[in-house]
This record gives sequence, structure tokens and C-alpha cells, in this order.
Amino acid sequence: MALPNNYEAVIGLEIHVQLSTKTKMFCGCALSFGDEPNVHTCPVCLAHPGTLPTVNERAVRYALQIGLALDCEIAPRSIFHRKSYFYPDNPKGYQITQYDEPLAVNGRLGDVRIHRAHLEEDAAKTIHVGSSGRIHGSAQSLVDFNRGGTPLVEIVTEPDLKSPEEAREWAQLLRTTIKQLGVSDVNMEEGSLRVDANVSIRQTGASKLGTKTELKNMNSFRFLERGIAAELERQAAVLDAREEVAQETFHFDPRTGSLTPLRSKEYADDYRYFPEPDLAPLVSTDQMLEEARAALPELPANRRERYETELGLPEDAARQLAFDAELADFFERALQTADGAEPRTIAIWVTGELVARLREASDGEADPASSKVTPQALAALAGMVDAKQVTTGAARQVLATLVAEGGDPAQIVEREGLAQMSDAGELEAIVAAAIEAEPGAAEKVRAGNPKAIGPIVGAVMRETKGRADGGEVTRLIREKLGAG
Amino acid sequence: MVGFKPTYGAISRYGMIAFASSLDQCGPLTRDVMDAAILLRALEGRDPCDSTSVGIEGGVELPSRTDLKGLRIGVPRELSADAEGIETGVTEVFERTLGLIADLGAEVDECELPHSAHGLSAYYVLAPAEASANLSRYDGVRYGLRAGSEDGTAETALVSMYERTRAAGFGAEVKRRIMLGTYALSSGYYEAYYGRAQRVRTKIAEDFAAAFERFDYLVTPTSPTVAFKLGARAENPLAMYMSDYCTVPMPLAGLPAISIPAGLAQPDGGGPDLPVGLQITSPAFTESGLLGAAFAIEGAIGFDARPGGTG
Repeated sequence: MALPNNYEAVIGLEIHVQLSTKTKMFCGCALSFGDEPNVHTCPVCLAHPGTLPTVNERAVRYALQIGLALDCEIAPRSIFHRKSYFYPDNPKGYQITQYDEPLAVNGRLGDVRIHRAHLEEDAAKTIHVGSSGRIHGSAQSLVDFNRGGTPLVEIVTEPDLKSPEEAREWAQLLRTTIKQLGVSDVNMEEGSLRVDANVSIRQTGASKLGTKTELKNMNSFRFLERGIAAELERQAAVLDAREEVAQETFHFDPRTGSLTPLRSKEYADDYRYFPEPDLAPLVSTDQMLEEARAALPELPANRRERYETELGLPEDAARQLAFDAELADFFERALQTADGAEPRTIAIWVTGELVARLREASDGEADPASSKVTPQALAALAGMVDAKQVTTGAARQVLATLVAEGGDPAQIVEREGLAQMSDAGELEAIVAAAIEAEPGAAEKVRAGNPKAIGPIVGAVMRETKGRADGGEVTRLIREKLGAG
Repeated sequence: MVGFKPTYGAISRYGMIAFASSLDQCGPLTRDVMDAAILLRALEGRDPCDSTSVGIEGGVELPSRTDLKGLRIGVPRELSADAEGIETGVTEVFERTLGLIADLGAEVDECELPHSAHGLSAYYVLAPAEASANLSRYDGVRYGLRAGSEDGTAETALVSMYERTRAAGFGAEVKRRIMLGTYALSSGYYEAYYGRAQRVRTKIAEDFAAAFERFDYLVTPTSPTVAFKLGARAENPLAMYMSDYCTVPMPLAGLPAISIPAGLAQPDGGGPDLPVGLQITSPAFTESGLLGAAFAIEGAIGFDARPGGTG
């Protein structure tokens, strides 16, 4: 699904992050997920007459941390606006958000510039009963106000992303960054992290941007990548047919992977923004900023740096770990329990073999925390490899067992007889037998063709079931054949 | 009847049905100034439920003064003699009251509030704009009236429910203001209306600040005309809005103001004598002083007329 070469993609993301405060943005109701509908509501978040909003201080502090972590300029004074629209998920008839004076602007994360980050309140959840789960064609719509008023930080990037893969990778980096701040659950399936994409294409090298479309409801990283790829393909087909891309919003259907237009054009959006008169401007004091700065944990970029310089990890592994919160957590815990294993070995086994096995086992997702492999087990296995108690090949078999059923690597090695052969005499006898069994190959090696050694090594490995170290086997065969 | 509008932020707005949030401020309507002071003392204060409330620092003193010695009283021409549509009878009562104020020992002089003539225009952009948003919650979804919807898809049924509910539930003046406010905030018109009105508002506040460098209090008639008959201006909203001419600059600037009865006057078109109000205003959060001055003037006027011409 690659974009044809004559086009280039221009992608920006709009991310909504639900903050994990105790209470809502403008009232004292508890945040919740999955509770019985409409139990976390009050006169304020149901917009009863006479009620007024008050700002959640913790939410402001969390938003400041996000702004700082994204390397943004924090506005000395920011204000809230009212954004008006009629819909049952919006009880006041307006959403309180930030408009032209947001909390944070001009940041950067990785290679992507951040346009702005601002505070706002989440809408209630509408449930459309009937066919599609959307209002079109539904028989009945229900509203759950539990979510209404949840604090959100909206992050808008500049259109700096060039491909669906880049968009996914960057979104994962953002997720890891925010997860490390501890200000949100950032769970895409539960909606505490929502990523919309603005997508356009243009002729390669053209300076003018094409018309963009907006993609919503891509509730996993894979869907984000897939949705953008599908839209790029669609836009390329439109341009190839010498037609024009229309400015539209599309809804991604995870079940079919297809995009359908979201809003009918008859209701052109006019949100009638104006400054929210019920709230005073937000002025972050120096003390608040200092506290937010002090509360910043090690962010992915710094973590990668530390992994490379202090732990000596290879660049790829350092990046892969640092940019993936779950993987890094697993790695750090394995490191803590490691008894003799090198950090480098642990890192390579976590980012390489473990991730690959987990992806195979669970359709592309690789969260080791929800697997049967414990950090202790992985660390122990890496320690056995370092101590040459098992060969790499045998360790792979042990890991496969760990992924499938969990357990203790030492016991698996014991049970399956995978310990590396340390008895030189036993190995020598097997080598001698293999040379006898492969006389043709042995002759060639004696005659000075080292590449002919393969069948003899294969025979030894079969006989030892991978318990022998490949290097040692090769050395012994050459010694016996007088080929040095 | 004494009407008192405190400084914006003196009293919590929590629990009050919002009309124009940046202007709304509840205040007592009482028989006399003392009652207004007693109620204000109970009503004022910071409320954690209203972020814009701060209360009156030092509280409210009950009024006791009987003269105005040492006070400088300003008379903004734009809101008195030069006020648009001011009636002769109103001017006469106002002039007579200025004499009483001088007799109480105050120094009375003319002053200027150059932008106050635009107050009404700014007010009738800002107030409807805020009202249009504040009244959006009356949508029939969660409480109150819900009119039935037309048949159709879920989406058209929802829209028609909104339209029918709001058409049935709001009166003509409310609908007029919602439409005015919605228009003023529309994309492409915001700067020309809302943005401009906000700048006028700032100018008006600056005018007051300059006047209060020279004067302790400013006085104006409460309204350019005596009371009109109930419903007399229902067909002419602009004429109705004009009755706010002298009183809208104060809320635009967030200032406290009090209206007390000053006397009776005949309307320009003839008819029985009707009450004329005196408005007194002062810098933000100087309620105690304002009530004191009003108390002294109220005593000097000695207004005791009663409805029905029997007073």
C-alpha cells in the first residue's frame, strides 16, 4: 500500500489525551471508565441552570508537564474559550476549551514540531443503538455523562510526518513520553489516548500543500497506520483521475478497515468561539513551572542516551526500548533482577527474540507485561547465555517455551536436556562419529575447502540437539581433519 | 424602590440563572438604602464555586452619614443633560437633586465619559452574545421542556427536537437576543461586532478610571425617561433598550451603582407624575462609601410618594 513515487504525503496529528486526575476538569465528579452510565455526574457537568465551572488545578499541573515534556513555550497567561455546538454529548451547548491563547505552543518531540497543546473538557459518550454504531440509521441514541467533563490535553503537531509508518512510530513515542509523565493512562482502546490524522498528498517536490482530510476513530496504532495508508491511496487515486480532493472528515471502521465520510456538508461548522466569561485567565506562577519541571521523569530521548552511554546498548536496541514504555519497563525490571547477565545481552534478547515471539503469538502486539515471560526469567536466561551454560540456539528454544507456558529457564533447560555440553570428551566422540558418517565432506575439508564443513557440523548439531556451541564444534572438526 | 448593583465579583453568581456572564451580578431591590446595605453585607463574599467572585475586602459598613462634606461629585454630561432622549421632567428632577447634593456639602462639577454614549451598542452586542451561549443548555435533552420531533432519521429527529423545543420554550425578546448574539459571534463577524464591543468596553472602563481621579462619586439620572406603561415598548425593542442608556456603562466597567428615588416628573407626552431615579456610581469595591453617600442623599430628598397619586 505504498504511495506512488510521484506523490509525497504530508501528515499531521491531533492527539487527545485524557488526564488521569481524580476529578473532572470543571467539577468534583470522579473520573471513571466502564462504570454504570451516568453515576459520575453532578449539576455542574450536567449543565443545570445556575451552575458554574471551576478549574481543576491538578489538570493544569499535568498539562504544564506535558507542555514541558514536549519542549513547548508555556504561555505566561492563557485563557479558556467557549466552543458552541448543539449535540447531546455537549450539555452546556458549548465546550470549554482553549482557542487563540493556549497553554503551550511551539514545541518539539523527536523530529516532529508541536504546534500547540491546550486544556479542554471531554464530551459525554453517545451510544447509538442500531446498525452501525453511528447516528445515521440508528433507532435510538443514549448519552452517558460519566465521561463528560474529563480533563483533556489536545496536542496538535505541525504536518511534519511523511508516511503512515512514521506517524505510527511517532505516536508511539508520544504515548511513551506521556506515560512516563504519569499524567494519563494513554490507552487507545479505552479512549484515554485518541489520535486523529490530517492527511494530504502533493506532487513530489511541490511546495503547495494539497487539500487535507481528517481521519478519526483509529483506536490502535495499527489502525492509525492502516487508516492513513488507506487515505493516502484514496487521495492518490482521486488525483490520478484528475479530480480534486475534497476537504472532509472520515471515520475509520476498525472492522472493515474502511473510511466513511463523517459529517454531512449541510452543517458547516461555526463554533462561535468567544472567551469564557465564567473563568479567570490561567497564569502559571514560577513556582508551578518549577514544580512541573522538577516532576518530569526521564523522557524517552534522555533514556535512549543513558542506555547507549551508561549501559552500552546498541543504538537500535536503546531506541527501541526507550521509545516503548512497556518494553522499557520490562527491561528495567529484568535489569534489576539480573544476576550476572550483561545489560546488553538482556536488551538484545528483549528487543529481538522476545518481541518477535510475542508478536507471532498475539497478532502483532508485543506487550511483555501481559505475557507469561517474567522479567526475572528473561534475565536468568540471558545470564545463562552469557555464562555459556546454554547455546544461543538452545536459549531460543527455552524462550519459546517461556512464551508458551512461562516457568523458570533453568528448570526448562534441565527438563529438556538443553544444557550446553561442557564435557569435551563426549563432544569429541560425537565429532569423530560425524566425520565417519560424512566421508565425502571430510575429504574435501582435508583437501583445503573449508566451506565443505557444513554437513559435518549439521550432523553434530543434530546429534547434540543444539546443546553444543557452534564455534567449538567447528574448531574440533577442523582440528581432527588437520585443517587448522 | 432602591436598586443596588454591586461591583462585578462582589457576590457569587453560583445558583443564579446566567444571562450575560461577564455582566451578571445579583443585587438587592429594597425599600431603602439601609436595607440594601444589610442585604449586601449578607450576600457578598468569595465563593469557591464561582471563580470570578472575590467578595468585598473589609466587608460592608452600614451607612450612617448625613452630609457629603469633603466629597467631590462628578456629573457626566453624556449620561445626563446630553443623554439621548432625556425628558425635560427627568432633567428638572435631576438638577434639583444636584442642588440638594451641593447643600449637603459636596463639591459638584461636570465631568466627561466620552465613550459612554457607545455603551448601549456595546452592551447589546456583548450581552446577547454571552446569552446565546448561556441559553444553549435549554435544549430539551436533560431537563425542562422537550417538544416532540418530526419523523425522520435519528439525526433529523434530533435537530427538529432542538428547533421545536427552543421555538416553543423561549419568548420573543429572548429569541431576538439569541439571534443577535449568534450573529455577532459568527465566523467572519466576530471582529466587527464582539471584538469591537470589547474594545468599547475597555474604553468605557478607562473613562471611568479617569473620572474617578477627580471625583469620589458620579451621579446620573437612572433612566432618560420616567416609567413607561407596561408593554408600551414591547413592539419597539430599540426604544426599550434605550431605557438602559444611563445604566449599562457601569456593568460594562464592572462598577457598583445604586438607584434611589429622586422625585416625580411628568412624561414628555403629558400624563400623571411618575418617579425619577438618581443613579450614583463609584470605583470598584467601594460599596461602603457608595451606600453612605446614597444614604445621605436619600435623607435629603425625603422621597415619600406612593403609587396611585395618594402620596
